[in-house]
Amino acid sequence: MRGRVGAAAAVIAAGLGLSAGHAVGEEGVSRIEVMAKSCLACHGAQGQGPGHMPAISDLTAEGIANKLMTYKNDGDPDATVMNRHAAAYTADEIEAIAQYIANLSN
Amino acid sequence: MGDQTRNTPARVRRLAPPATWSAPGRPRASALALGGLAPRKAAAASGARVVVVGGGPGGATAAKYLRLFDPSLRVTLVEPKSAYYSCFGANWHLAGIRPLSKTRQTFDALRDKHGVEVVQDRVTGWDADAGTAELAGGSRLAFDRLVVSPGIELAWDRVEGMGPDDAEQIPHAWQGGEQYRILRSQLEAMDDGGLVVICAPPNPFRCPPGPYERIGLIAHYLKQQKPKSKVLALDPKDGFAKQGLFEQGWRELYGDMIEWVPGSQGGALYEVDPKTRTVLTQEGFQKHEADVLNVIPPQRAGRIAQEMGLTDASGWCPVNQQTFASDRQPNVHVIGDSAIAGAMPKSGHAANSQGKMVAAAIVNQLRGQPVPDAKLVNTCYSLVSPTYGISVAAVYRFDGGKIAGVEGAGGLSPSEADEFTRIQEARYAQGWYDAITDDIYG
Repeated sequence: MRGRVGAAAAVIAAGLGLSAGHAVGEEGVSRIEVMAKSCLACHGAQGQGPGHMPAISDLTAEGIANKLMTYKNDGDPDATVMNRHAAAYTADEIEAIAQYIANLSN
Repeated sequence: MGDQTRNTPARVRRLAPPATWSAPGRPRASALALGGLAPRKAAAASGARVVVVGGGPGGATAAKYLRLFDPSLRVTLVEPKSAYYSCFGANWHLAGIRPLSKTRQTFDALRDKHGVEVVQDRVTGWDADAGTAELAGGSRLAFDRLVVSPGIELAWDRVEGMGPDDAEQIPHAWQGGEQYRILRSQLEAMDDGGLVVICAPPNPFRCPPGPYERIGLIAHYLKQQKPKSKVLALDPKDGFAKQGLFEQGWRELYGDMIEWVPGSQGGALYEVDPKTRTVLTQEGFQKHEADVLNVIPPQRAGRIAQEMGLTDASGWCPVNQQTFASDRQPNVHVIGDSAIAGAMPKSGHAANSQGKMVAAAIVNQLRGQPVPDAKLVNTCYSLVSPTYGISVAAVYRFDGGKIAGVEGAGGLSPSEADEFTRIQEARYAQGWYDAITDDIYG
C-alpha cells in the first residue's frame, strides 16, 4: 500500500465536502507499481512462487535488479520467458521494480 | 451489500424482457425505463463506487486491484455464475492430466479478503449518464465508473447448420466448465481408430494458441489410450500462434496422428450436420465424418457489451487503449477479450494485465492524477504434451494512441531448445496457472 494516502485522505476529503475520490494531495498509483504488479501474475499474489514458479518474495532489491539486468543484457539459458520480458525495461525501471518487489513482504 | 444504493424489489419493476438498454447517444433511455425512480445520488464521500461486470480474469483482477490501489473505493462485482471455470488450463483436462474441478475459481477471497461486494446476478439495464446499473434480480447499483469485462459471445449465426442448442452433441469447449466435461467424455467414449475433428475459428478469437494446444493434447490422450485414432484440424486461417513450435512438437511427439488443413487448402468450415457429426468444407464438396467433433465458432464481444452499445461494426469494443475507457459510453471501461487492445491478444494473462491497468487508471482519474504510463504484459504457455511446454511472451506500451509491442523484447521459446527446456516450460505452464489464479482470485 506504499505510495498511497488512501483512507486517511478520504476522511479528510469527506470533512472538506469533496466528492468521492478527489481527495486533495492524494498521490496516484505509480507506473512502477503497475509494472511491478505484473510480476505477480507468474510469481503469485505475494511473489511466493506457487507450484513450479520461482519465488521472488525472499530476494533483496539488489539481487532482483542484478538478475533482471542479466536477463536483459546477457540472457540466462535457464530463464525461458524472463529473458524476453526483462529486455523491455530500462535499467531505471528495473531498479525501481526491484525495490518494489523486495518490499512486497514488508 | 448494505451500503449500495439499491431499491427494494417491491419498488422496482423489472424491465419487460428483453431488458431495455440505453442506446448509444441516448443514454437517458433506460432511466425512463427505470420508471422515473429518483436519479442517482452523488457518490458518497467515503469512496467512489465502481461496478465491475464479469468475474473472469479481467473483471476479477480489476475488482481486486481497485481495492488494493484504493481501499476507500466501494467495488461491486456482478457475475451470474457462482464460480468461474477458466478456459486456460482446461485443455489439460481434455488430455486427462487435470481434473475439471481444478479449473474452478471462486470469488471467496475477493469478498472476504479484499472487500469486494460480489453479487451473483446479471446486468439487464443501465444508464451511463445517471450512473446506474439494473440487475435481473430487480436491484439497482449506482456507480461512478463501470468496468465491463464480459469475455466473448460465440457467433452461431456465422456457423451454417448448427446453433447453441447443438453444443451438447457438438461441444465448442470455448467457455469453461461443462463444455470441457462433455468433450472429454466424448473422447473417452470414442473407439480406438476414431477420428477427432477440430474446427478452429477465424481471427480474432479468445486464446490464439488454444485450438493448437488442444490438437496436441487430444493427440496425447489418443496416443496413450487409442493409438489408431487421428486428429484432423480444419482451419479457415493459413497460420496461427506459435505455429512453428506447435508443428515441430506435433511431428516429434505424434507423427502422422495430426493433420492440419489450412484455409487455402480447404480448411474453412462450410456447413455442419450435428446429427451425423459431419463437416462440409470446400463449399460443400468435401465431407469429413467425425467420431468426435469440436466446432469452435467465430467470436465477438460478450453479449452485455453489445447490448450496452459498446461495440463497433467489428463486433468488438473500441476503447482508449491507455485507460480502456469506452469510445462509445461515458464512465464505462471495457477490458479483456471484448476490448480492442492493439497488439495485445485476447488471453487471460492480457486480461489480468489490463485489469491492473484499468484499476490504476480509474483510481488516478478519480484522484485527479495522470494515468500511469505503464507497460503491460502477456505470457502464454501452451502444452504440446504434459512434459513438453512452449511459450510466447510480450511487453506492451501505449504508443501513438495504440498498444504496441516493445521492440527488442518478447518472443517465442527457441525452436532449437533442448528437452530440458521443454520440460521446464511444461512445469512453468502448470505453475503459471497456480500463480495467475492466485493473483486474480487469491
